[in-house]
Amino acid sequence: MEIHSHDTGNVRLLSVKGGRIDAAVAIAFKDRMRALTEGAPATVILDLSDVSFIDSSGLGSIVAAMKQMGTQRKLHLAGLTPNVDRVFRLTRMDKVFTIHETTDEGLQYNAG
Amino acid sequence: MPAKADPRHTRPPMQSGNNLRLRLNSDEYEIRRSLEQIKAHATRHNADHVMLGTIEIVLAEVLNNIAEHAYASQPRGGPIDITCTATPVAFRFAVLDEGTPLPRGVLQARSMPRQYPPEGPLPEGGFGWDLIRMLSVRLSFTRKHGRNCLSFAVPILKGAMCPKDGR
Repeated sequence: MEIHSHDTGNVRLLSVKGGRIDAAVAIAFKDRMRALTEGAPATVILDLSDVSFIDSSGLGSIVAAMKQMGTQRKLHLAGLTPNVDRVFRLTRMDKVFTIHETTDEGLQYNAG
Repeated sequence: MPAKADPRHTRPPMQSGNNLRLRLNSDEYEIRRSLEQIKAHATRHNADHVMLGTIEIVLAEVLNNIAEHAYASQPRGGPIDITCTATPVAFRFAVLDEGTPLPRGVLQARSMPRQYPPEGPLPEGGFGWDLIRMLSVRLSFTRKHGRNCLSFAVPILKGAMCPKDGR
């Protein structure tokens, strides 16, 4: 699984490429997120539009990524596909994260 | 990374009519492959993309639990047998393993915080059984001849999300 990083203004956009965030990659994902969010601007948007499946391990690794960013920076999510969106809603994690329909919407929200 | 899987645990899938039987080793990559085989079986029995998503998440959580808990003390993992039966109203599953017994009460317990934001720190795990309970019906567990047997069904709902899905 790859995560592409791109800074634009006061936002770092992290795009997950690779289809699944599951038990097979959860630990690697969390470690990669730690490296990519260190020294990031105040807001990090995690683009999940290429992720078709997430399980509870993957969900836990996103929660862990948010926690390891501390209180100074925020982790937003964008582009949830239907199955991923469903897991966030069922576990009520949609109440914990700011979720944007698309990355563009997330970037506009955080502009200025 | 898990230790290399024991090839003795894996057998090619056996399909007969509405039944699909799989034997796999409890490692993450065989779990992924088995999920694909089960989804292909469900697709042959006209499951739509919502059904496929439901089946995949429930089964993934069941199999991950076995890999991470039932076979926790076995670095090479152990065998898992899955039977998936397509019926007109549901996809029924029986999942067997030879690992440590499932703790009592785990089927009923609830790990998700009841309110958001939660009072304590955000949980990073424990969502698996919640998802299984919310997306399946007829969830039951027996321990027989030294094996765990978990059975459940994913109901077929035409044009609707799952009953407990809240949409």
